[in-house]
Amino acid sequence: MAKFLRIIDLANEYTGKMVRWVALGMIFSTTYEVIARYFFNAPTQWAHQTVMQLGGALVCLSWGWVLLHRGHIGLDVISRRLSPRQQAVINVAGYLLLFFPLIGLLAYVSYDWMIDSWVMGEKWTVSFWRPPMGPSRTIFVIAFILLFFQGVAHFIREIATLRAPKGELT
Amino acid sequence: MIDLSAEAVTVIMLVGLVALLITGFPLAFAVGTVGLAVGILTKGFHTVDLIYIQLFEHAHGYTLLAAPMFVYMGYMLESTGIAEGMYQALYLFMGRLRGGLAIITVVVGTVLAACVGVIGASVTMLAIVALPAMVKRGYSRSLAAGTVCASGTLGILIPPSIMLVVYGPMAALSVGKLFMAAFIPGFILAGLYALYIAIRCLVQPGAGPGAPPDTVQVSLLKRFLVVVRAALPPAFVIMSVLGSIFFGLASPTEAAAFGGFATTVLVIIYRKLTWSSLIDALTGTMRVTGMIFLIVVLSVAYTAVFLSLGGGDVVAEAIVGTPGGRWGAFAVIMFIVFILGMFLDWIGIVFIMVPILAPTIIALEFNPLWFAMMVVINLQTGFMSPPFATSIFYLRGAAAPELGVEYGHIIKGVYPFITIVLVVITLCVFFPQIVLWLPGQMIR
Repeated sequence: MAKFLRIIDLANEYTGKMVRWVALGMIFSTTYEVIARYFFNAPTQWAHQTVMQLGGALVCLSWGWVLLHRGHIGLDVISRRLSPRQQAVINVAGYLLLFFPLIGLLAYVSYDWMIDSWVMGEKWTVSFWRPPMGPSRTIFVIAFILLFFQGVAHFIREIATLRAPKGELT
Repeated sequence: MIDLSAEAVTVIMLVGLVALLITGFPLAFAVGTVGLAVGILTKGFHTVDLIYIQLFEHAHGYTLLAAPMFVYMGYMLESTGIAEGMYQALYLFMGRLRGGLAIITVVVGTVLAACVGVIGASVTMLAIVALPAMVKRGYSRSLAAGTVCASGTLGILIPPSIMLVVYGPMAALSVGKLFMAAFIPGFILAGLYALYIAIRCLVQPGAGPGAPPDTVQVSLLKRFLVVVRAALPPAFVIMSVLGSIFFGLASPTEAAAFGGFATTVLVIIYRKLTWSSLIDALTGTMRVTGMIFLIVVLSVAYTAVFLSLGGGDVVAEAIVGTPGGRWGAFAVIMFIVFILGMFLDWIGIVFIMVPILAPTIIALEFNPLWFAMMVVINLQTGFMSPPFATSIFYLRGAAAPELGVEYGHIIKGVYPFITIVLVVITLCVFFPQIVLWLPGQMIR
């Protein structure tokens, strides 16, 4: 079990380590476009679309990493006054009712859209440069799977907190 | 499928959301689940597909994607120490003035927090950089704490602020116009904060003593050069970002990218670019981006279901029907915003409340741009109001214990600043041109 949790954590940690560079990619591709347009009078066809695709990847692939580091904010006025055990009860219920159904369904639906997208050869239609949409749809599926499994890992940890004998909690 | 009246949907979705939020489970999942569950129950399983389409679209929204690049810009200025350099330089320049350090805090907080834009990040940063500097030089703890809270909170309003970048697409308003609309009220606020600090320190010299002359024994010319070197270039980058939007040269997304690029170049020129500072900036950017966008896309699930079932009109009827007519309704909305601001960071408020209130604004015939400004200025008060205020919470978390800044100090410190915000809101109600003049001057 410990190994399983570690694999999930590492998967999200490494995804985060790669994905954070995407921000630089967005900045450089858009800057290139601005310079090409104003200084060389040669606007690109691809920059507008590229920043959207890069941004989409940065946005969604970071969700699992942020959950790993417990960075998704909530209203903690009450929860920070509770004992670790009480917090664990809330979190277990939260994962069961608010996390798994939602993220599971979204992962399932995004999988359908991904398959359709590749089969039909769906393309972005924002500009005349029409790259295939399949990669972005695929990234969405990966993002939801990473997020879902990070939730599973944290859920198992919350259960462990609940089952720990009294007095062993720090 | 269950047939629910619009009134029932409104009550279920609003009460359900509040009930789930109180548990403290991450906001994004609570809001997404309420939207999804009500959607599936009333409209069937294909709601999931509709929500997916919305999610996908918003995660690839061109204007929204200016946010990560502005965040990068802010983190880059902070992690490489340029922010602290600005603070030190201005200290050399103004440190001998009574209250000078606090005024510098307002200036630096305003400029920097504008880019990072999450209250937690900006208040934390000031609590680490500015609070110890003030307390060690004998500033009153309440004045120091109040200044940090107010400047950290003000940063989310002053453009280029992330809050406005995401507010625009949510309310179908131009981000460029929002930036310009926030410019004058934001600087009036900053100016009044500085004025208050100056007057208070003049009347009560113990509150913010000037540095003794021997600690700042540098010639005027040298001081001037230090400021030019350390503070002007970052200020220039930020102003050029705003200028390019104002003159219609670039979209907010392009301006953000160029700002990020220029900041990186600046860091290289200063010879401050290190591997670890770059990694810190990129990691911080990813953390804020992932957190904000998960709330963005899942709030869309909620508000789309809410609006399609008629909840927006129910809210509009209820608010428009308040006694006191248009301005009575305005007061009610402002009160709701204030209360929400006491509990939540702006992220949840902007994404959930703004779309829900959209039909109400139309019914009340307020100028949407002016109204948006009223909401975001008003949020300032909520973020600072005890006992739950977000900024106070972050300040307490980040202030080093040996400074001896206690809860009581902070509360005493923030009230004058809250009063100033209320004065500015009143000004904007009676003189809407404060908000609307600059956007009207924009090219295009």
